[in-house]
Amino acid sequence: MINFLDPRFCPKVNSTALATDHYEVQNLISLDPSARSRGFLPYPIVKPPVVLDFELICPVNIHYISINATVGSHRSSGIEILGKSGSSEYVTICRAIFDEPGVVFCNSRKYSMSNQPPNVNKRYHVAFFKSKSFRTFLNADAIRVLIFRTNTRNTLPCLNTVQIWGLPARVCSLKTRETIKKLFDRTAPFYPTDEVPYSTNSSDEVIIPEDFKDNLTYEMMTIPMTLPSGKTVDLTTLEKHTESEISLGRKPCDPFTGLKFDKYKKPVLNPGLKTRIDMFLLQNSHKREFFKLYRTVGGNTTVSDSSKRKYDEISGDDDDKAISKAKRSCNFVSFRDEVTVKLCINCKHENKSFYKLPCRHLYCRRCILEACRNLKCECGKRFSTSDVKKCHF
Amino acid sequence: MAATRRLQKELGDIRNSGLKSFRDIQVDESNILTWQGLIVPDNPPYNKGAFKIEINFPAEYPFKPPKINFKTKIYHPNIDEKGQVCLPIISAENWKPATKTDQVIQALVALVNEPEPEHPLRGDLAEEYLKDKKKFTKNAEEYTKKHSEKRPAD
Repeated sequence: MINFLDPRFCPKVNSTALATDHYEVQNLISLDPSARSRGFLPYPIVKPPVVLDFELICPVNIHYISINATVGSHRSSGIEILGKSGSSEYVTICRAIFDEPGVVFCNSRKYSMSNQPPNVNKRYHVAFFKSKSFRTFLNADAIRVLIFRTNTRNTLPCLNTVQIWGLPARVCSLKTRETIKKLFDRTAPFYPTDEVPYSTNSSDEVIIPEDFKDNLTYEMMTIPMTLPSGKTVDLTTLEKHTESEISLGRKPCDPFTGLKFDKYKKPVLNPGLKTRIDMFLLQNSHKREFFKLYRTVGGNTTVSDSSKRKYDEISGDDDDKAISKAKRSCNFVSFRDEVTVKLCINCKHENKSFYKLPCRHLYCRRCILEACRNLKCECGKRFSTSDVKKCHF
Repeated sequence: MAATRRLQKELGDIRNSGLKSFRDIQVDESNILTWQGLIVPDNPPYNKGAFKIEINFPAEYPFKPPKINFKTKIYHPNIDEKGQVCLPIISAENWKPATKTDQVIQALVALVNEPEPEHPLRGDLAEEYLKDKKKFTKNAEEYTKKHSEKRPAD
């Protein structure tokens, strides 16, 4: 059985209702799992009824339709399903009013209350197709979901997920069926049913490859650094070791051999291993075991740069060299040794704070007050009171 | 805690190695930082008994060295009455994070078997050891018989 609203079958969805940003109706059929998990939420002023039209890839014999009608605190509580077959008008297939978080509409010939469809949340309300409308649901080209009621007056007519499960209708040609089968087999199916919580998968034991483990702590590494001794440890381990060495008044050294790092013998990032570790973490990112690990990709500064710089600086034996290096770096703020004596242009006295005019002449406070009377500098240029700037040396 | 995984691995390795001179390793499920075990020396005068020790790992392990304490009284120039041992390999200034616990234990067993009177914790015993080895051996043997644990059967 196939979910015909799977993004691989390129279904189309339309709605006349305005949607809240990021909760567009396209989320229901989006390839992006995060968009799909958000669902559809209309703009806050929208009132029921809300109509959503789904166009399917081919005529479908619908077995059941599963709808999760809860988005956050909003919930739809009355849904009608209409179907269209060929050029005919939309015909009501079924309708339900419910208090549960979702609803599943099913074909009464295939399912019953005791024999419910698979992959459906057991808490969902179960409703059955009207047997009179069999011409439509055995051969539906398009499905219209009409939300006519919400559980309270203040909630919005929303939809979290819609799945239309069935098989290609009998009228479909063999070629159509084959195409659908091919599309379906192309990638592994992904159906997040809320019955299976995400965390159950993550309890599975993960086998960490031995070479991804730190040689000292046996923890998973995120930034593997290869030491002069050939062993590989995580950058955090190396930093902790360096810290404890410094606390004993020693220079950073190899934790395995105790040899001090220098210009040539120093820890280096192992980019090949890092790539493999990143790949492994990406594939196992949902495993709880890795939640506490640091993220090392996606930042502005690359790790290799900062660590390299650090050990370069540490390994500089010559203090003068280090000082001159620090002086050249952009972070270094220099304070000038030579004191340039500033004088007031009028009284020729030394001072620390001055008032500066647009003509770049400096006045002390007493003299600027006098100069402000006729708004004229000693050099003859005029100025306005708003041009006077205070400055300190 | 950084120490957990490393200690789990070391514990597994030691248990699998079947070390003859260090046995009956007991570790509390809730606290892997404290190990207890039995030192079984081969050399006289200590080969008549076994000695219970406790290894305490700091939370910063392996960046800080573990501490070893004797729980059984022993007549030994390098081990004092409180059970403290002077073992260079686990002193703060000599400690290397790459040192494994089984190396530490082997160093400890070697120290118990061959006392080092040059760096004693108990000066009186070191003096006796150097001046009158026969008397020392006799005293140590008696002390071992009186205070030490029973040696494992095999």
